[in-house]
Amino acid sequence: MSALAIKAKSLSKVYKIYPRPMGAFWETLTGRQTHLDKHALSNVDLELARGEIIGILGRNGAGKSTLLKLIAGVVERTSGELEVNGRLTAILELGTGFHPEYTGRDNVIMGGMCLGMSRKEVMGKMEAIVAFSELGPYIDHPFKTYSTGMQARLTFSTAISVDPDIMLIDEALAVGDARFQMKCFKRIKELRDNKTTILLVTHDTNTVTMFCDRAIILEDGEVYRQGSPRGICNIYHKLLFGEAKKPGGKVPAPTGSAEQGNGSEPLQAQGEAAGSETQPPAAPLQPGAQGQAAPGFVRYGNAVGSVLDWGVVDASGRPRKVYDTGEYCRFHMTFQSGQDVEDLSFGVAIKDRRGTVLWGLTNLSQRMGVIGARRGELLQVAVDCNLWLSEGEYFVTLGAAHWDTGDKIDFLEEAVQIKVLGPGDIFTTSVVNLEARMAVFSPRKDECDNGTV
Amino acid sequence: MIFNRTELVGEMVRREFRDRHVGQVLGVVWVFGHPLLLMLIYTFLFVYVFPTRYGGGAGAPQDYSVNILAGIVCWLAFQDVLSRSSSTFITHANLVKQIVFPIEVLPIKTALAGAIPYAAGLLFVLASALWRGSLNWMVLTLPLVVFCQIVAMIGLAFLLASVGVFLRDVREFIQVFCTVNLFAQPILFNPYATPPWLQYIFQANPFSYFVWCWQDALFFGSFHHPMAWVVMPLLSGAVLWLGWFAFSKTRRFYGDVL
Repeated sequence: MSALAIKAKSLSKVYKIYPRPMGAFWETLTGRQTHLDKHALSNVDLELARGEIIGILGRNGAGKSTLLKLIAGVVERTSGELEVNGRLTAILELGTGFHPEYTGRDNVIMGGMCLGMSRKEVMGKMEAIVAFSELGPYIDHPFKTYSTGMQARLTFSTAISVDPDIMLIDEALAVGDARFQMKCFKRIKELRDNKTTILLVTHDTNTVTMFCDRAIILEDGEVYRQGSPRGICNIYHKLLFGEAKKPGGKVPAPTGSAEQGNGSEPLQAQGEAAGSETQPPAAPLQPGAQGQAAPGFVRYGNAVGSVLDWGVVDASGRPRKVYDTGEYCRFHMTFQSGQDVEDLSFGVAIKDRRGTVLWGLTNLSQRMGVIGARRGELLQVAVDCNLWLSEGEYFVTLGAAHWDTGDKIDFLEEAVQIKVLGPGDIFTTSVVNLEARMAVFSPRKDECDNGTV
Repeated sequence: MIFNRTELVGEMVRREFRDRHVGQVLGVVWVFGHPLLLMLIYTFLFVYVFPTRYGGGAGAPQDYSVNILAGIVCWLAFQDVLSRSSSTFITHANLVKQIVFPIEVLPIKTALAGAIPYAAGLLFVLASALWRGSLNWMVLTLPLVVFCQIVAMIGLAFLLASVGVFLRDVREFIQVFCTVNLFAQPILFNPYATPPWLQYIFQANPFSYFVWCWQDALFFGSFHHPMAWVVMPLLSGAVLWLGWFAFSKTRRFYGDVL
């Protein structure tokens, strides 16, 4: 068997939209073209190794679901090559084969069989499915009496009980409460350990950073970017909240540029820099020793103002990249406003290697109220803190935004990478340092062990 | 996934009956009762209420209710499949579009679910034939007739289900066709007194050949319509081939259309 589970080459899908229901019929009859072409997917190249989990991000209508449907084979490709090696199961919609009048148990049988399991196989897994869904005695009640959450849990439990080589999941993980989601993720990891290739379509970047080996952004039916989950998620944030400027230039000019035009001249150069991908700020604005841009550095915003200088300094005010756990440090940035702004909000956040936000604050979370600035005014923002993190690499994201709309003015994802040297006597998987000490007290007072940190 | 198609069809047929009558008091009674009731009504009307105007030939049996019953059980089963199958893929759009599913089981399911309720009807015809004394060794050909009919029904189910995806009006055409076709077959007429022009219509109607075989097996007790016994197996094979051809040519577009 090929090492690749899925291989797609310049895969394209064009939907024909007929203005009238008989459109297709008339077109064959008269030969006159009445349909409109809708390019759902164009020239997508994709290679997935066995056991790889890949996340697909993209806005609504970017072609994510179409891609899954093509791979699943429920929709025929218009052009390109597609190779799928292995047994495949797709959860494009939960609850297929489920009927509200029947009991949960009956529905699991039919639903499981619709997903390709034999009756015997479903019956064998029944107890596991019921246990996973946590429905308990309700499993023998009619499906229609379930709450939405219970329905989702049961359908998901059924869907995920299949053991395929390739699994396609379309935004199905957003079911149930946080604890149930953790269980789902655990099951997905189990599948991965069994060398199941998983394609996960989602809107949630945290899901991608936590579970995927790789991520892809689809935009307008094309692969916009692909790479490591963390970097891709930053770019995706930029795509969502920042200027949508494509390499091909297909997307209309971002609205930010108009506002920037109204701004002051000194910002012109900065605005240009903000528009391009993954690029350190333009030279004149490079903050001397502070330009510790991390590899995942992405900058975006509407360029109403710009962050001129930023960094992390220690207690003596010297920029540093390595800190001891619990050590005092200051995150700072200098912001210049391009126009009169009344609704500024500044924020700083720390992310871990996977891109999960561990900590963060803004002037709003600090209950400082809204900050205003006049055109050309320079504002200094400083955040003092003690880095009670455990050992590891961390990324500092900072920036300015409009507080009411949340629109980013100048946002620097992973502007600084810092390293924290941990206490060394806690789990290496720890995220924070709680400055803990452990003690064990024995009833025999003379023999008590007392460990300190 | 490796689908166990036989098992899936079985489960889905069972599910179909439950779906149809879920929440009803009599439930399964309707599955078999409904066709039986229809057969009785037709027989009663056309044997006793509207006695035929054409007199029987010399020595011809005047009671041909078994002839009607045999014909009607054949046609009603066909009609059931005809009226249900055009919407097969439309009603199961989620199975077609949302998951990896062997959709070829769906028309088969429709055909079998259409045929099974007539098992009771068949038993009833057998009983009446026995009672009327027309049952003889020809009953041994019945399995062949039933087999050919089921093959033809599956073929029709594939054909109509495929066409129905693209042309949803098919359903309405079929309803009209079914109403007319009841009278275009040698079912509700005295078999010994059919005017020649009607015979031509019967011969032009492919469904007649199935009806004739049923009647030969249960009423005439001999190969009374030898042509039918040649045409019927060929016809059922051809219909199955045509249905499968239409299905396999169009199946890849279902995801786009539904």
